[in-house]
Amino acid sequence: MRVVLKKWLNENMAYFLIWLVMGLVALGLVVHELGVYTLVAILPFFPLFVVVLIRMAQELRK
Amino acid sequence: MILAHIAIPLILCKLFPLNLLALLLGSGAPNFDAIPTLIRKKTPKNAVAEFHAGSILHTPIFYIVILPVVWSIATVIRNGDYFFGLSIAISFSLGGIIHVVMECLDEKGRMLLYPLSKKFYRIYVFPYDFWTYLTSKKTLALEAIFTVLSAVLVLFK
Repeated sequence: MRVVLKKWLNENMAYFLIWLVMGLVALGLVVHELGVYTLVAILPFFPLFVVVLIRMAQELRK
Repeated sequence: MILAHIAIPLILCKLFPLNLLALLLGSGAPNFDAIPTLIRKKTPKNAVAEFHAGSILHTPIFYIVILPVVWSIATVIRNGDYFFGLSIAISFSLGGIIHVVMECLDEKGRMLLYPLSKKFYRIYVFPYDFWTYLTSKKTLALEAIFTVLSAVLVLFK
Protein backbone atom coordinates (compact mmCIF):
# COMPACT_ATOMS: atom_id res chain seq x y z
CA MET A 1 0.00 0.00 0.00
CA ARG A 2 1.35 3.39 -1.04
CA VAL A 3 1.40 5.88 1.85
CA VAL A 4 2.41 9.53 2.01
CA LEU A 5 3.27 9.79 5.68
CA LYS A 6 2.36 13.46 6.31
CA LYS A 7 -0.90 13.14 4.39
CA TRP A 8 -1.70 9.87 6.14
CA LEU A 9 -1.04 11.45 9.53
CA ASN A 10 -3.22 14.46 8.73
CA GLU A 11 -6.07 12.26 7.58
CA ASN A 12 -5.77 9.73 10.40
CA MET A 13 -4.57 11.80 13.35
CA ALA A 14 -7.37 10.44 15.58
CA TYR A 15 -6.35 6.83 14.89
CA PHE A 16 -2.69 7.71 15.46
CA LEU A 17 -3.44 9.33 18.82
CA ILE A 18 -5.65 6.44 19.98
CA TRP A 19 -2.94 3.89 19.06
CA LEU A 20 -0.32 6.06 20.80
CA VAL A 21 -2.38 6.31 24.00
CA MET A 22 -3.17 2.57 24.00
CA GLY A 23 0.52 1.79 23.46
CA LEU A 24 1.53 3.98 26.38
CA VAL A 25 -1.16 2.38 28.56
CA ALA A 26 0.10 -1.12 27.64
CA LEU A 27 3.70 -0.10 28.39
CA GLY A 28 2.58 1.42 31.68
CA LEU A 29 0.75 -1.77 32.67
CA VAL A 30 3.79 -3.93 31.92
CA VAL A 31 6.07 -1.60 33.91
CA HIS A 32 3.48 -1.62 36.73
CA GLU A 33 3.49 -5.43 36.80
CA LEU A 34 7.16 -6.22 36.14
CA GLY A 35 8.86 -3.14 37.53
CA VAL A 36 11.03 -0.43 36.04
CA TYR A 37 13.67 -2.95 34.97
CA THR A 38 11.35 -3.76 32.04
CA LEU A 39 12.52 -0.49 30.51
CA VAL A 40 16.14 -1.63 30.85
CA ALA A 41 15.20 -4.84 29.00
CA ILE A 42 13.52 -2.85 26.22
CA LEU A 43 16.39 -0.34 25.89
CA PRO A 44 18.71 -2.56 23.73
CA PHE A 45 15.93 -2.77 21.10
CA PHE A 46 15.60 1.01 20.86
CA PRO A 47 18.35 1.44 18.18
CA LEU A 48 16.58 -1.22 16.04
CA PHE A 49 13.32 0.68 16.49
CA VAL A 50 15.02 3.90 15.27
CA VAL A 51 16.52 2.05 12.27
CA VAL A 52 13.08 0.64 11.41
CA LEU A 53 11.46 4.08 11.58
CA ILE A 54 14.18 5.62 9.35
CA ARG A 55 13.90 2.77 6.81
CA MET A 56 10.11 3.04 6.74
CA ALA A 57 10.27 6.80 6.23
CA GLN A 58 12.85 6.36 3.42
CA GLU A 59 10.72 3.72 1.74
CA LEU A 60 7.57 5.79 1.96
CA ARG A 61 9.37 8.71 0.27
CA LYS A 62 10.31 6.54 -2.77
CA MET B 1 -2.64 -7.93 16.36
CA ILE B 2 -0.28 -5.35 17.84
CA LEU B 3 -1.11 -4.33 21.41
CA ALA B 4 -3.22 -7.44 22.05
CA HIS B 5 0.06 -9.37 22.17
CA ILE B 6 0.80 -7.44 25.37
CA ALA B 7 -2.77 -7.16 26.70
CA ILE B 8 -3.66 -10.86 26.38
CA PRO B 9 -0.67 -12.05 28.49
CA LEU B 10 -1.59 -9.43 31.11
CA ILE B 11 -5.19 -10.73 31.19
CA LEU B 12 -4.11 -14.40 31.34
CA CYS B 13 -1.61 -13.67 34.08
CA LYS B 14 -4.35 -12.12 36.22
CA LEU B 15 -6.77 -15.02 35.65
CA PHE B 16 -4.36 -17.99 35.85
CA PRO B 17 -1.15 -18.76 37.80
CA LEU B 18 1.20 -18.04 34.88
CA ASN B 19 4.50 -16.18 34.68
CA LEU B 20 3.95 -12.78 33.04
CA LEU B 21 7.51 -12.27 31.79
CA ALA B 22 7.56 -15.73 30.13
CA LEU B 23 4.10 -15.12 28.64
CA LEU B 24 5.23 -11.78 27.19
CA LEU B 25 8.46 -13.27 25.83
CA GLY B 26 6.51 -16.17 24.28
CA SER B 27 3.96 -13.77 22.87
CA GLY B 28 6.70 -11.64 21.34
CA ALA B 29 8.85 -14.50 20.03
CA PRO B 30 6.88 -15.13 16.79
CA ASN B 31 7.53 -11.58 15.62
CA PHE B 32 11.28 -12.10 15.33
CA ASP B 33 10.53 -13.20 11.77
CA ALA B 34 9.35 -9.62 11.11
CA ILE B 35 12.92 -8.32 11.42
CA PRO B 36 13.89 -8.90 7.73
CA THR B 37 10.79 -6.94 6.70
CA LEU B 38 11.27 -4.23 9.30
CA ILE B 39 14.85 -3.51 8.31
CA ARG B 40 13.74 -3.73 4.70
CA LYS B 41 16.04 -6.55 3.58
CA LYS B 42 13.16 -8.35 1.90
CA THR B 43 10.38 -5.95 0.96
CA PRO B 44 7.73 -7.70 -1.10
CA LYS B 45 5.32 -5.79 -3.36
CA ASN B 46 2.44 -7.69 -1.81
CA ALA B 47 2.37 -7.36 1.99
CA VAL B 48 0.67 -10.73 2.40
CA ALA B 49 3.63 -12.43 0.69
CA GLU B 50 6.24 -11.00 3.08
CA PHE B 51 8.48 -13.20 5.24
CA HIS B 52 6.73 -12.13 8.45
CA ALA B 53 4.27 -14.77 9.69
CA GLY B 54 5.46 -17.21 7.05
CA SER B 55 8.24 -18.84 9.09
CA ILE B 56 8.29 -21.64 11.66
CA LEU B 57 8.13 -18.99 14.40
CA HIS B 58 4.47 -18.44 13.48
CA THR B 59 3.49 -22.12 13.85
CA PRO B 60 2.07 -23.75 17.02
CA ILE B 61 4.34 -26.81 16.64
CA PHE B 62 7.42 -24.66 17.28
CA TYR B 63 6.16 -23.74 20.76
CA ILE B 64 5.26 -27.35 21.55
CA VAL B 65 8.69 -28.62 20.46
CA ILE B 66 10.52 -25.86 22.32
CA LEU B 67 8.58 -26.43 25.58
CA PRO B 68 10.96 -29.12 27.01
CA VAL B 69 13.95 -26.99 25.99
CA VAL B 70 12.61 -23.95 27.85
CA TRP B 71 11.64 -26.20 30.78
CA SER B 72 15.22 -27.56 30.99
CA ILE B 73 16.86 -24.14 30.72
CA ALA B 74 14.52 -22.56 33.31
CA THR B 75 15.01 -25.51 35.67
CA VAL B 76 18.81 -25.26 35.44
CA ILE B 77 18.71 -21.50 35.98
CA ARG B 78 16.52 -22.00 39.08
CA ASN B 79 18.85 -24.69 40.56
CA GLY B 80 16.72 -27.74 39.72
CA ASP B 81 13.27 -26.30 40.54
CA TYR B 82 11.23 -28.41 38.08
CA PHE B 83 7.89 -26.78 38.93
CA PHE B 84 9.25 -23.29 38.39
CA GLY B 85 10.79 -24.47 35.10
CA LEU B 86 7.49 -26.01 34.00
CA SER B 87 5.58 -22.85 34.88
CA ILE B 88 8.00 -20.78 32.77
CA ALA B 89 7.89 -23.25 29.86
CA ILE B 90 4.07 -23.49 29.82
CA SER B 91 3.75 -19.71 30.04
CA PHE B 92 6.25 -19.17 27.20
CA SER B 93 4.64 -21.76 24.90
CA LEU B 94 1.12 -20.59 25.69
CA GLY B 95 2.14 -17.02 24.85
CA GLY B 96 3.51 -18.14 21.48
CA ILE B 97 0.55 -20.36 20.59
CA ILE B 98 -2.04 -17.73 21.54
CA HIS B 99 -0.16 -15.20 19.40
CA VAL B 100 -0.32 -17.51 16.38
CA VAL B 101 -3.97 -18.52 16.89
CA MET B 102 -5.16 -14.93 17.39
CA GLU B 103 -3.46 -13.88 14.16
CA CYS B 104 -5.48 -16.43 12.21
CA LEU B 105 -8.13 -13.71 12.18
CA ASP B 106 -6.22 -11.69 9.59
CA GLU B 107 -6.15 -11.79 5.80
CA LYS B 108 -2.96 -13.87 5.61
CA GLY B 109 -3.79 -16.60 8.13
CA ARG B 110 -1.18 -18.80 9.76
CA MET B 111 0.31 -22.26 9.13
CA LEU B 112 -1.56 -23.95 11.98
CA LEU B 113 -0.86 -27.52 10.86
CA TYR B 114 2.80 -27.11 9.88
CA PRO B 115 4.74 -29.44 9.24
CA LEU B 116 1.78 -31.60 8.13
CA SER B 117 0.56 -28.84 5.84
CA LYS B 118 1.95 -25.51 4.64
CA LYS B 119 -1.55 -24.13 4.14
CA PHE B 120 -2.35 -20.79 5.80
CA TYR B 121 -5.56 -21.16 7.82
CA ARG B 122 -7.61 -18.05 8.49
CA ILE B 123 -10.95 -16.62 9.53
CA TYR B 124 -10.71 -13.37 7.58
CA VAL B 125 -11.85 -10.61 9.94
CA PHE B 126 -8.95 -8.12 9.93
CA PRO B 127 -6.69 -6.68 7.23
CA TYR B 128 -3.03 -7.76 7.15
CA ASP B 129 -1.44 -4.64 5.62
CA PHE B 130 0.03 -2.45 8.39
CA TRP B 131 -1.43 0.90 7.29
CA THR B 132 -4.87 -0.53 6.58
CA TYR B 133 -4.77 -2.33 9.93
CA LEU B 134 -4.05 0.93 11.79
CA THR B 135 -7.12 2.63 10.32
CA SER B 136 -9.57 -0.26 10.61
CA LYS B 137 -12.37 0.40 13.11
CA LYS B 138 -12.79 -3.33 13.78
CA THR B 139 -9.14 -3.85 14.72
CA LEU B 140 -9.03 -0.70 16.79
CA ALA B 141 -12.16 -1.78 18.69
CA LEU B 142 -10.79 -5.26 19.42
CA GLU B 143 -7.37 -3.98 20.45
CA ALA B 144 -9.04 -1.33 22.65
CA ILE B 145 -11.23 -3.97 24.33
CA PHE B 146 -8.16 -6.09 25.18
CA THR B 147 -6.19 -3.04 26.39
CA VAL B 148 -9.03 -1.75 28.58
CA LEU B 149 -9.75 -5.23 29.98
CA SER B 150 -6.09 -5.75 30.84
CA ALA B 151 -5.93 -2.31 32.50
CA VAL B 152 -9.03 -3.05 34.60
CA LEU B 153 -7.67 -6.44 35.69
CA VAL B 154 -4.19 -5.12 36.47
CA LEU B 155 -5.44 -2.13 38.43
CA PHE B 156 -8.37 -3.72 40.28
CA LYS B 157 -7.64 -7.45 40.65
